[in-house]
Amino acid sequence: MKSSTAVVLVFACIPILFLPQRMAAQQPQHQHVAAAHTDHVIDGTQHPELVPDSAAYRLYFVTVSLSANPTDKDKKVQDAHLAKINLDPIDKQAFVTVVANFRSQYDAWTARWNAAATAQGDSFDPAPFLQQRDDLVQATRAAIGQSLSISGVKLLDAHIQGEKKRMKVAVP
Amino acid sequence: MIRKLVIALALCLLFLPSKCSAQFQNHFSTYTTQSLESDGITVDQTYQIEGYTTVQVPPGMRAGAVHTPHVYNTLGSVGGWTTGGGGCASCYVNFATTVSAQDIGDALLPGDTGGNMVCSIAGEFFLDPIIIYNIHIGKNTFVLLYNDGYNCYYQNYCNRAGGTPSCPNENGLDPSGEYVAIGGMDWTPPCSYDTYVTFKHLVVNYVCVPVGIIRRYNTPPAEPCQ
Repeated sequence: MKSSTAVVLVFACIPILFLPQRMAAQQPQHQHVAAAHTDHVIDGTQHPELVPDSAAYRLYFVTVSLSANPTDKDKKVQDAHLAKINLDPIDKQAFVTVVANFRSQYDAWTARWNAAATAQGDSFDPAPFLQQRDDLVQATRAAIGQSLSISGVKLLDAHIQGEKKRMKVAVP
Repeated sequence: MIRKLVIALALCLLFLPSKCSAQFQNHFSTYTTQSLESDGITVDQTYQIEGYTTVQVPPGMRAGAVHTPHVYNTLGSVGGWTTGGGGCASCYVNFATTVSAQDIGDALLPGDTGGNMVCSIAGEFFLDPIIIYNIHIGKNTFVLLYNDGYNCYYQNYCNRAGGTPSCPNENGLDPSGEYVAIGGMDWTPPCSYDTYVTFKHLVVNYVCVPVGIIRRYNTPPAEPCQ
């Protein structure tokens, strides 16, 4: 093939290649794959038995714990949520203390995750952070076992098992 | 000519479709819970979204997307959409809202919760569809029959007062409709003074929350059973 012919062919390809480029330019810069919620979650409303304990406990701890500087209203809401467990006053106070400790560590962990994710960008690896998260939940459950009465631990577990039907949990 | 060919090929490469298809995988969990405050008239509904997105971006693709959580949380006419703080694409999200409805009486409230995550570049990429809960406060009232000097023995009052309790059998109650207050004479005031006892339960989708709020009266309550 003569070089002049090759040049013609190459230039002929440009408009064809240019067309999809223009179309692509109108699309988002990145695409989220499999964005549908139901594709990657365990729906506790349908299958509460499939919700892992570690995820259920974590969601419960995060939801009923208080962030720094809670308002009186925050405390009332926490009290209302905890009342459903029916813990005796001593166990209830012990649980509030344990879950407050969880929350302070969880917030610090979240800050570390976000600092690393921001700094490392695309190369960020969440795996070690996820292990830390699971370790924190496990340690909190162990602290509950040491701080609450046996009946209190059972009441709490029964409550969280029942709450699984109100959760949708990401597939690990 | 070779030089021209190289330039032409370079132009071709320059205009190759450069569709940037970063791979995002969602790992978000959600939790909705409702509770009745100790005043017996305030209902709280909390919706929590928590998790992260894993991102694989091809080399050369523009970074810098911001991901923001949005939560829809309503009790009756209270509440609505709330937007959380945005973060980087791989940042960990923990966002919750609580709405409260006060003194709902015997109303049946709709409680709606749901949420999504929105990318500043790609738009919505995670959706937790809105779920509607039916919420009301159930009441069951008992009237004192007698006391033995320590315990108090009550009989269900709903048959006399009319109305059907939503939660007839619960903690402290047996199916025969009786209620025994252990040590009720040690209450302040004692059961012999407050002769009516009402249990208030949050009822969500016609299921009673197991633990109720107890109220005592020395005259028949206005709305004893619902």
